[in-house]
Amino acid sequence: MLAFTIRRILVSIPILILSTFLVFLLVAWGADPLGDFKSKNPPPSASEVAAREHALGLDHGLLVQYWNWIRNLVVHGNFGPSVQGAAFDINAELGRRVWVTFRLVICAIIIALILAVIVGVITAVKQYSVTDYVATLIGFFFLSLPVFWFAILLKIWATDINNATGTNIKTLGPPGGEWGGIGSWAGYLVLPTITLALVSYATWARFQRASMLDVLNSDYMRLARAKGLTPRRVMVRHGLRTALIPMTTQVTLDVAAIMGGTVITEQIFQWQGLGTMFLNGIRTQDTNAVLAWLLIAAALVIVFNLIADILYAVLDPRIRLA
Amino acid sequence: MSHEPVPVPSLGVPAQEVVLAVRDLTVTFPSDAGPVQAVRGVSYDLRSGEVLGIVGESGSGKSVSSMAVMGLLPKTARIAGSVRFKDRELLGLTEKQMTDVRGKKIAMIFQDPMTSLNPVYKIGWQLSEAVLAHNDVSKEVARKRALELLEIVGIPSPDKRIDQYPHEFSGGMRQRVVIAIAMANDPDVIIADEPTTALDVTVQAQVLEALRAAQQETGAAMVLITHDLGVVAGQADRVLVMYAGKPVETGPIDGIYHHPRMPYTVGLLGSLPRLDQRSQEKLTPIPGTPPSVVNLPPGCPFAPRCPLRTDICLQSEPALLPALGADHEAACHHSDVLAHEGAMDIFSTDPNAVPGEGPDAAPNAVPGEGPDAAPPNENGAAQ
Amino acid sequence: MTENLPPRDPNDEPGEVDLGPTPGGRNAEFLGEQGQQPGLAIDAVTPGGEDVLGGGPEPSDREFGVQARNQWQLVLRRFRQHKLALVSLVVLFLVFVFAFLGPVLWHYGPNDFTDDFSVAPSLKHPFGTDSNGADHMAQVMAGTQLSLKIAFVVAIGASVFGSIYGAVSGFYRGATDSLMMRLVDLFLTIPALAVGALLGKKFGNNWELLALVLAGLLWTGSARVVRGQVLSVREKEYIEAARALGATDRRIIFRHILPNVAGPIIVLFTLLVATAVLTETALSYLGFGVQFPDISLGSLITSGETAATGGRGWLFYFPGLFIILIALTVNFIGDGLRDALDPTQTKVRA
Repeated sequence: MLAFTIRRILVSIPILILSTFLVFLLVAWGADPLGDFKSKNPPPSASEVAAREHALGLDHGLLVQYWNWIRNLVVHGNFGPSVQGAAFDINAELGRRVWVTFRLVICAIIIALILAVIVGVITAVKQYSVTDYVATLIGFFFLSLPVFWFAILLKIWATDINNATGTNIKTLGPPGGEWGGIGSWAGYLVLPTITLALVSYATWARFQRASMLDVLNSDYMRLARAKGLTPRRVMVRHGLRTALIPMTTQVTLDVAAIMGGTVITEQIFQWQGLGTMFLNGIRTQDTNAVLAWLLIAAALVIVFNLIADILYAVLDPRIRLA
Repeated sequence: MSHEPVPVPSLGVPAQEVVLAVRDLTVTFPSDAGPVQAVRGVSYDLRSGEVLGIVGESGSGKSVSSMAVMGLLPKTARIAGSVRFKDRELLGLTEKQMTDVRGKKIAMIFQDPMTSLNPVYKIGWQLSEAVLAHNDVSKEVARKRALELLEIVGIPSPDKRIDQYPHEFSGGMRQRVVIAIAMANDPDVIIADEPTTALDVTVQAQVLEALRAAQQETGAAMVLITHDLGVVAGQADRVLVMYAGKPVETGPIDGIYHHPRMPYTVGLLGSLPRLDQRSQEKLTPIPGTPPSVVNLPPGCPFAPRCPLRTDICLQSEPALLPALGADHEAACHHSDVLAHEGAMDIFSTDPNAVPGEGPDAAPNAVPGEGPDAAPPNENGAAQ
Repeated sequence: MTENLPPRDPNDEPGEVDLGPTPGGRNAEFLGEQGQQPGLAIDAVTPGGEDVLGGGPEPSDREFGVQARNQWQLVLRRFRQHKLALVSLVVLFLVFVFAFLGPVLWHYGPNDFTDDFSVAPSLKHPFGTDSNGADHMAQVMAGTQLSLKIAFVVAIGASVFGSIYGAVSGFYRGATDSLMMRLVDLFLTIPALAVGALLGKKFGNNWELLALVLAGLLWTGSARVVRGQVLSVREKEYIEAARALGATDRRIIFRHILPNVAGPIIVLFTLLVATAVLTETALSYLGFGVQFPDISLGSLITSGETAATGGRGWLFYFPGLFIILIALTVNFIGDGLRDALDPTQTKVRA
């Protein structure tokens, strides 16, 4: 097990490094940190632009820039200056916003997961029944839904519900980051969590159903029944336990993806999390902020891939020899 | 449903307690193409301690009939008839009631050992689970029993193996573990569904050995399902030959092997490579393929492939009746023909053999037979 | 990112671990055991493993050519049984007509300002008008057309590139395969939507470039699946048998590998269309996709959002409806194709 883990970690490191380089290239290609500056009216002179470039270290070659950036990051833990003004400390922003995003992601995952497993198991056991059919249709619908549109719809409905019943479902994130007590938290979390959980739920429920079906039709399930075990034990100990293995891996991998997906949700609900920082960064051509976000996202993908592999080996003894 | 089972005449076997009485068992599955009659009326008695071999090709219904006994068929299956375990009717019992029977009174061994065991649990755990399911004992006791069982079936170094996972076992050893699980609670009946089909010949012997040990240890009656006549020959007391969902010949093993009275059985036996066969003699396969059991035409299902067929064979399906001059039953309109010499030659390799005429009438062209005339074969027929 | 990605394909292996002998095999339900010769006419197989219908002469006995023809006929027939997919096909066709024929037939253009400001849906303006008096139906037509164009270009581009990439990787195996798949892994560390936003801003004025960018982000799914399929088909015994019979590489690729891989590629293509539509509209909504003066269903929603809260919901609901229509119908069609191409389906009606 240990050897397996170490091997996997060692493989991940070069990928991480290459990833940072790829990210850097993409941003260098896609964004011009002086874009805003250059498009000012009246346009700045060439020497002003050159001065700015020098100040930001942009007059070096690409590789050198990359090296500077990476070195700054690894050695000083500093993501670099932001074009959004000296007051915008990327590191500090990250520190604050990461918890905001984390809150959202965790809730969404838990809800999506629980629902997905329940629905997945039920629809598998009752394959081809009306329940299965309806659940599948609903799942399809969620998968075909433009999430941003649905989020707006939720906001509209929430306002209506609030007006009608006096509940306090928040349609936007807390202003100034003041969250209040748990009750208030719930108010803020409801809509974004539903939004974020929707697609994950639909995907995972289908996956769980497929996984469960495979298991239900397997020979060892039959043997378990033949042993005279109670139906419940057969279903849980032999069915669910084995069916959850692929599911666990899938969820772990998707976690990192959800992180990336918070971009839209945060934007619509105006949460001051990592997602909005990223979008603002693109709008202002703040390359360092954008780089920071992309780097974190990439690192998370790699880390969670690693966790998924290890988790799989823990849960399925056959993999440990690999 | 509490009727006295009508005793199936089985001559030449000493009367013993019947542990499993199957009567007119039929199993039908719905499908896109129409109802599939997988089993069309199987009846047999299984006596305490005896081994019944059920033989047939894929699709003959042999596995399905045993799954019906255990109640392991999918919900879409329509099962009719009667299966009595020691006077208790099993068909129609609820799942909960069946869990009392399965693993404890009737145990089952399946075909593919590579997939029969749950891959994420240790062998010892799966064995203990079987014990704990029906006995109120501690985990330690169950584990001891598991060790015992592993020894009986011949697993080397059981104390090390007990904590290993299925993927660390070879196919033959996994099957032996499955056998161990089956015998864990001293069942009265063990059903072995093609236990050696998925294994190499050399491993087969080990598994059959383990089966024998299981039977001896538990004193259980066994139903041994297989398509391999060789396996049956070594193990069974009585044989039931199935074709297209129905038994076509049944009785004590010697009688069937030496005096088959149904052409299908003859064909099966004739198609076996034998050590005492001369090398020039070709194997005589049965021409054609088994019928689809979706829309069976009237008459004997074997008729299209049978060299003895006549009009009556295509019109009415023969009943299982005591065969002339033999100690067992056969379902064939012409079983008496087979009582004559030359029975084993009805499947001549000459595809133009005229049906209906006796085996001696057709030009017995056996290509490959050398100029030296072969001596008469076992049944006394002239070559 | 999962917000707008297709049903997370279970064929995505986590990291580099091959989930080969997972309980029952994960591929079964989603893409079917494509390796089998789908020539058996009857599909009822009991879970006990016994093939209840020992039918007549196996279709695989016949010559290659005849068997391939029957395969597609069978697929078509099965597809026709999937009612939802058929209906979706019709609806999608209607949407296409609406988007491409509509602007030709409808007398308003999307930028024709009339005097009917913010009018609710009526006979004159079936979808209502916006605050400039522009007919909304014309706008939705234009938006649907552009979104469809982008979606299909993306899907075709991503499918073609991904399939070729995956096929090459799977066919050559060994070091080539390893390297190519590492590259895919690398690619996957970067969230598609995010990079789409980043690059979309730069290229947004040109929808073709935008489509290219999106295709460049979404091809990895196809690559992985096709590679998996090619790898597994390569190992099948009938390939060995074909070689033993003297089949050339070309014949093997065209007669055996491609037909078996075509199925998943087609299914993936449909899924990609859905993904592309959802991704593009999301980006356009955020302002990083299609830019003014081009109209996308996503950009319509941007302007429709404020309208919705202001009581002029028609500017919000119609574009959303059409996005849903496109994605939903395409998903159902994809599902129908999936079922039709999977020869191990056991739809036993009790």
